[in-house]
Amino acid sequence: MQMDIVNIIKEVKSGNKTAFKNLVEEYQEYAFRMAFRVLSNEEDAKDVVQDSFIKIWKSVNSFDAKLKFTTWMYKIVINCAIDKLRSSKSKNTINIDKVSENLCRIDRTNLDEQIENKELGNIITLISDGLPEKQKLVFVLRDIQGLDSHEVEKILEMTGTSVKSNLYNARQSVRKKLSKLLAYERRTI
Amino acid sequence: MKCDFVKRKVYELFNSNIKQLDDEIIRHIDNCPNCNAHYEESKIAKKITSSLNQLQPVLNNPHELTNNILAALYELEQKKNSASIRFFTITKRLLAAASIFLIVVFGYEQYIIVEKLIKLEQQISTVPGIPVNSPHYQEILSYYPKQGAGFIKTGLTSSIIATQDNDLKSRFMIARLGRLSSEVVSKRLLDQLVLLRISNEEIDIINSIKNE
Repeated sequence: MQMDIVNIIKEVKSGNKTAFKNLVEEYQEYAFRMAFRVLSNEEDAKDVVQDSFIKIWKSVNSFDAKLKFTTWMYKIVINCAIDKLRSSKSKNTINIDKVSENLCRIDRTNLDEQIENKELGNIITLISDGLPEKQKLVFVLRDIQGLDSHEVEKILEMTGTSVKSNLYNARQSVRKKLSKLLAYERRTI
Repeated sequence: MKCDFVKRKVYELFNSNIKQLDDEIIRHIDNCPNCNAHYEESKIAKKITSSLNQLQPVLNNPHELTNNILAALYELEQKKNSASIRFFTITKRLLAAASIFLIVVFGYEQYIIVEKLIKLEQQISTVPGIPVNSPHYQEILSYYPKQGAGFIKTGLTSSIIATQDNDLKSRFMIARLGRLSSEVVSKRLLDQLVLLRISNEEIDIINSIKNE
């Protein structure tokens, strides 16, 4: 369903719940992908999407129409995800063999087949594990989510220079991490 | 050529708009094992992150998530409504309690004032030279020219409380209390001044008059 987002937001601002339902149906998947890539966990990502849309409902009157709706939504999703990330103490146990195997598949072939959420989450967790929070967010938004630098700056409220330096450091760490993981896989074959 | 420079160019190749490396840099990478490893690692990292960008996490049961969001919204609205109702109920009860408190306090105040006035009037009535219907009563009543002051201008507090409505009584009592108190104080001061000025002979005369 093609929606006119300006009208939908206008309706939501006036308290129209049907319009809000349409908004959720249209954008929840985008929000989920973003949350999942930050949290690497399906259930946590769903919780964050739910919290984010409740916040959107509550603060829709503060939405500035000059801003892209998705940028505003991603900002809310990221803030909720950061809260979740900080409050979540438990860590999933990751099967390194399985992750390395998947990484080798990606490395050797152009992987166009879908892999399970859990495996995808494990790959992201493992390669971004240990990154400082800012570096992780910049890396996920820029390289994995594929947003442009300006949008990343707006969502994370960071300067262009800060985004660049955090991204550079994150990429160097990820490069080293991947190199180790792939070397591990070669040794175990 | 320095390795740091080469590594920076390799980074730019995979992450910026550089299309290809200069021949000199390529030759360095071919001959330097460290830079060669760096180049290979960067290439793999780029390929994997690009693939991760293509691999989309799948939202299973999107309808369930939509329903959960709407249910959470409904719950939020319910809470908001019940919070408003609770607020009004509490406010209503507080106002009722405050009203009762004020009625009790002012009722008690009025009772105390009336009691004090009666006692004061009884004491004053024993003092010679202060008639019950002295002019200050009339002055007090000038606050209420339409209240039939003629009836109460000579009345004592004890008789007024039985005949007048509450509003008039309260205001009248307060005014009268102030007036009578100032009357007593001023009389005492006057007595002291008089006593200071009179001679012993005059004191004898006063005492003889009192005895008569």
